[in-house]
Amino acid sequence: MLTDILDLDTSQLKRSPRFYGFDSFLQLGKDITIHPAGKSKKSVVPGLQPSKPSIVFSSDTEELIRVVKKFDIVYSTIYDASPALLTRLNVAKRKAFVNISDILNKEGADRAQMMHRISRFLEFCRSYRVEVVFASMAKDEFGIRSPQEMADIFVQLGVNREQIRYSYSIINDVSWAGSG
Amino acid sequence: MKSTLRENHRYIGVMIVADSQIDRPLLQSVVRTGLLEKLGEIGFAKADPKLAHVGHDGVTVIIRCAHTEAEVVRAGLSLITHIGHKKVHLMPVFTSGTILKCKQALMRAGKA
Repeated sequence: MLTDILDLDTSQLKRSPRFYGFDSFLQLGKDITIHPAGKSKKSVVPGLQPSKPSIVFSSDTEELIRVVKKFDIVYSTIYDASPALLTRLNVAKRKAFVNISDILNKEGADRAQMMHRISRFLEFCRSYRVEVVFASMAKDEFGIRSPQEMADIFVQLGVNREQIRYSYSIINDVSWAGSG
Repeated sequence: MKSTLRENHRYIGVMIVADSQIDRPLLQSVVRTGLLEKLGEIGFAKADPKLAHVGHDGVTVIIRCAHTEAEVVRAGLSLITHIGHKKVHLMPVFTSGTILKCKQALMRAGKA
């Protein structure tokens, strides 16, 4: 089951998830929560349901290493391929995160540089046996990319199609584990 | 000409997700300048992408390219986010060796 995470109201979408090659969409804030690493999980969203899968994000790797165990998915916004972080993720059985809008919202050399960082990050994740969650985090319908499209892009960067499809499916495992 | 020297093409059926209809000259410029930017001059020369067909509805187009570079062209199309100032998503839905099959696939995708 292929699922994407969107940063918009999914009920406002004109087309179904099937049109984009997905089985379902998760809405950021409603189905899944995101927190900055600097603040504790409880202080960010009071009254938050603990069953929802949670993402923690930061550009500071040290900060992420400290909070790895408290969250389901860890999003390094600079895609730092730090062995310390990836070892912690592997031991704690947590997942890394790749945000497709980090690529689409950039242009030219910045975009190329970001694609290089992500491909290197994915290479390290594979080496350290850390699972990666892919999501578009689109703010509008034009930012959604199908798993096939992402596979076309990442095949050029050394990731195979099965890995991309798997990365779009594991968010469901996190959701189920969280609700159980 | 020897059969082995014949150029093989792939036809990529593309669905355009946009707020308003995009006219043919603008699409032509997207294929030329947009893909040139994404693939680079050498990649563009290898792929030789051309706008082969624009659907009557204006939301489906078929792009012809070299058969070895179809994947690269699809990746390039997926990276296009704007046409002029309009936000757009060019979604490759089907790749085929013949334009007829590609048209049929786009019709099916349009109805779905």
